[in-house]
Amino acid sequence: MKKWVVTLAALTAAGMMTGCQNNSGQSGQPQGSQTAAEQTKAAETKEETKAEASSGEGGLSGELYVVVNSTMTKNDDPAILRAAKAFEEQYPDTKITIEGLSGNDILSKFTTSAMAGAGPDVVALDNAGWPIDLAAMGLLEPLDEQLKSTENKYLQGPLDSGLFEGSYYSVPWYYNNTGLYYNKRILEEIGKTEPPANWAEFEEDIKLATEKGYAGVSTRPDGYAIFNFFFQNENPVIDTSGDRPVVTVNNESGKEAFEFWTGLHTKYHAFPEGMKDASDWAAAYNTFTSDDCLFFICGDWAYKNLESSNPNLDFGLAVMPKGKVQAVCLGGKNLAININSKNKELAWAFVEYLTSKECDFVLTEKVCIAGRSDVDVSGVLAINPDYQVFVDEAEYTVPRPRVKNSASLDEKVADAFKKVLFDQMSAQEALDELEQELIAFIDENY
Amino acid sequence: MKKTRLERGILQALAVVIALCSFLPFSWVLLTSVKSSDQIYNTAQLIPTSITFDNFKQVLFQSNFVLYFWNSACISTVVTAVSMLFAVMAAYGFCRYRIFGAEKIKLSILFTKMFPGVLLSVPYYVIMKQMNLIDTHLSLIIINCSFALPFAVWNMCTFFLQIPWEIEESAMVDGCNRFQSFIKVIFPMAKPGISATTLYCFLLSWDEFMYANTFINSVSKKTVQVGIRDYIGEFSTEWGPLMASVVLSLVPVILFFIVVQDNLVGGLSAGAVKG
Amino acid sequence: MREQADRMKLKEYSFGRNRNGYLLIAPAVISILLLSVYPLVRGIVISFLNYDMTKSNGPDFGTFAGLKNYLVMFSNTKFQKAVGNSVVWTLVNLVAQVLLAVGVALVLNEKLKGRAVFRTVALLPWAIPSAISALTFSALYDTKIGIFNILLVRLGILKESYSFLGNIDTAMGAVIIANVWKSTPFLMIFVLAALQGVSYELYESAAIDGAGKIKRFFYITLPNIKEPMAVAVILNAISIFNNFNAIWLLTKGGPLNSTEIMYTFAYRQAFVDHKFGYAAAVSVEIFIIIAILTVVYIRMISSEKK
Repeated sequence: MKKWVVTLAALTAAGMMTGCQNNSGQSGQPQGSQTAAEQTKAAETKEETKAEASSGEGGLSGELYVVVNSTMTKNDDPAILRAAKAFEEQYPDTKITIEGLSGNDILSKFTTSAMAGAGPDVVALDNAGWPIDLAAMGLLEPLDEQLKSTENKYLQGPLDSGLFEGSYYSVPWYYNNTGLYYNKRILEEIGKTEPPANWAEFEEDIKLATEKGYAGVSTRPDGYAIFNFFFQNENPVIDTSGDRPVVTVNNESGKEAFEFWTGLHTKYHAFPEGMKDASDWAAAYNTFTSDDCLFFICGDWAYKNLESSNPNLDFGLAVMPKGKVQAVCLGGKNLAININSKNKELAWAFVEYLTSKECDFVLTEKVCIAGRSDVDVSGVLAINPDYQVFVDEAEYTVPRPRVKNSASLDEKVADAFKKVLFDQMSAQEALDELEQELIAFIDENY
Repeated sequence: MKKTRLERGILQALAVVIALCSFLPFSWVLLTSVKSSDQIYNTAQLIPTSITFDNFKQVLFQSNFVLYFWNSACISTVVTAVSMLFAVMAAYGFCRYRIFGAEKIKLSILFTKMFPGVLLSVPYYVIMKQMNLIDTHLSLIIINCSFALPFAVWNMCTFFLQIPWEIEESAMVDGCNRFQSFIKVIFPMAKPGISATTLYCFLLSWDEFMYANTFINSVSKKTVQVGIRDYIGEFSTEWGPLMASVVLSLVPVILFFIVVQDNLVGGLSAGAVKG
Repeated sequence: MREQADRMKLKEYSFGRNRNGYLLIAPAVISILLLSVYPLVRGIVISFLNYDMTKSNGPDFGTFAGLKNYLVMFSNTKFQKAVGNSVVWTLVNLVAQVLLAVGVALVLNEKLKGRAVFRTVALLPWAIPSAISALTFSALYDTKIGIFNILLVRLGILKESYSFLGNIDTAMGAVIIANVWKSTPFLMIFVLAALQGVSYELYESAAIDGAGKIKRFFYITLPNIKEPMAVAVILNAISIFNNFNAIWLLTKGGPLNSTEIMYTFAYRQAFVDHKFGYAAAVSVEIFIIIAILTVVYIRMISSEKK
């Protein structure tokens, strides 16, 4: 017994020492870079000298490891690989490796490897709060200096989605806006020729559709759709304009917005049953493509999938109905540079290149709109004229609240909605609870 | 021990029910893999009217699946071999020698399986980075071995405890050395337990996703589980190729099953003496 | 006298006499411990530190927090709910899996026609990757194309389609069924292997003595497979308690936390809220709970043996 205890203690002590060493490395100020520098110094030296020597000459050289969402790397001959090749030809001493990963796999891989002091040099991040979280964790390189000298005219909204404590940590790659998909057959059946232009019409259409036994509106049951209605009622959910975020969810305009959205359930049972377990978008499409639901709220990515899921479905796309103002929720991807990157100069050069006009063909091929003001949308519109809707919405698109851990905010807002959806409480009770939770959330994080 | 016909019939029927229960969810995978894409989305067509192998062709010839498959097979085989070797050795050591604090050591091995694994990914990454093993198959082999071993050792220990060890001693009296008598006498008796544990090690390594996704960067070194995820996009799922790749990835596992279930027969019920 | 016995015992356990034994266990034990000690100890250390990653440049980050992480977690109502859910999740899964595994193993241990096929098919769910079994079950539970809904509506049991995974009352049941399907074969194959250790002659002599089938099961089969079973059960319980994928891939702990177990809660703390200190504290609690239960359980088995 004793011996066992001693052995275990010894092992623990040994572990503690390694553990502490590591902790001290991670708790320092620019922690990621410090850890990286300490831990891989020996292995790096060779590469570093090489990089320095060549950058002294003015050219770019070295290797770059880039992780993007797998939508970009699919197909036989993805445009992004062609773009990377062109870059390599322009700078013959460089090698760009591109890996495609899907959705959250990017985030978990990047977080884990960057926290361990390594990871991809360049990463594509969802502008729904990922850049801010990772910047707060000290895993991203600030890009303020680079932004001063670049010629790329990034859009302010998407650019701001990477703004943390006064510094920019990512640049927009492409962006999208929320659209209102509608079932043309059902719209005709309820005697309408045009999709709804404002909340009143939206509600009336839903009322008529549910009276005919259809579901009124579907979406993925998370915060995304709900944010739209808050924004349209001039409510930012959480106001991030001041020094400290302020929860505005339960003021007059917030109440109106939340009661409008949840009222669609309490008054008309507008949401299809299948929406409750639609934990991913693929499942959410089914609630609309089954041809018995009038509206579907989603970004541009749904278009192609709705078409392929049910080729017989006759659907249209319209701008989101107007509340007090016109507003939609912003989506899309930003590019950021890992703080552990050993070749930040090359990383920025590639990011700048990939987000420049020269590389717009990469996005056009995937029917995505680049996050710059000087973008030529004719290519995208030639593929799908309906995208004019998203282009029109560009002037009033609103990024989500710029708070740390916004995925958690999203969950809390969605849960408040579900409390009403499951008839557990009234909209006002759910909103009161949400306000309390969000205040606690801000206190915890700021 | 003779059974009446009725009893046989009932048992046979039960076996069919069991097989149906475990097969039905899988049949959805199988059916989807032979459907064309418009059939997949046609909700009225649960059973396909025509069968297509396009999905399989796409997976086999237009993707890196074969490569992923090979990578996974290599990793899993090595993991299984190493873990089983270590586990059988350790279990034999624990059962046949007097190890000081054997129970405590066994418990502390088990303790390592109790801490939620998802949260250990960062420190594991640090270890692999310091050993310069990021983006190598060796990193996955090492990590999967360390995950498979605790259960494997415990399982082997319990199966070894069932064995009447006098047999080994009598074999040694007959002139076998310890190793020979283990191979000749004990191994055949422990075969069911060894088979079951082998399967466990193989599947654990074959099914591992999180570390394979985190540690491996090069496309050419990815495993099947990561490769399958290519078809599960953020905004859409390519059902046909996805299910075709699942069906294909099951082939080695099913072959393995057939071999293993064959070896499950044996042990004491084959007619050895029970001490 | 006692001294002498101790010395005898020491001699029996002496390194010299058991050198080969130590050498045999060394590779497994060392490789497990070597790789696990650092991650485990780091996890435990972090649970006592202020470790909110999104405050990584704040003054507190990485400082000693005492029991703060634990106290914050204990007072969190969602955590309390997750503990309750963990108990339900583990117990129901375990009981269902043990009963099914023993039942199925007994049937498949008989000399049936096509036994090899039945056994292979029965193992099939185990071979399906977790991500795929989750996709499969969400399709089976689907309100439009799901076989359960189609059948229940057609049989008139349900008036209209019902979202099993999306409603609070049924979500836990639905994920448990999916997990029982996926995980039972693991236990089953070990029971099957253990059954091979029961000598045929024992049955025959019992049959001669006129023991009925049920009697034979309780007096011969069960006592003989009890020990390997007991170990398989504890190993299974550990994997159920820590089965993250089975829940996360289907419901992510929702709707409204109705399927949130301690593990998914810890994961959420770490990778959604980036509160690694809290996540580590919950992990340590999970560790302690399982460790205590395991030790108690193993004591129980070994005292029964004596």
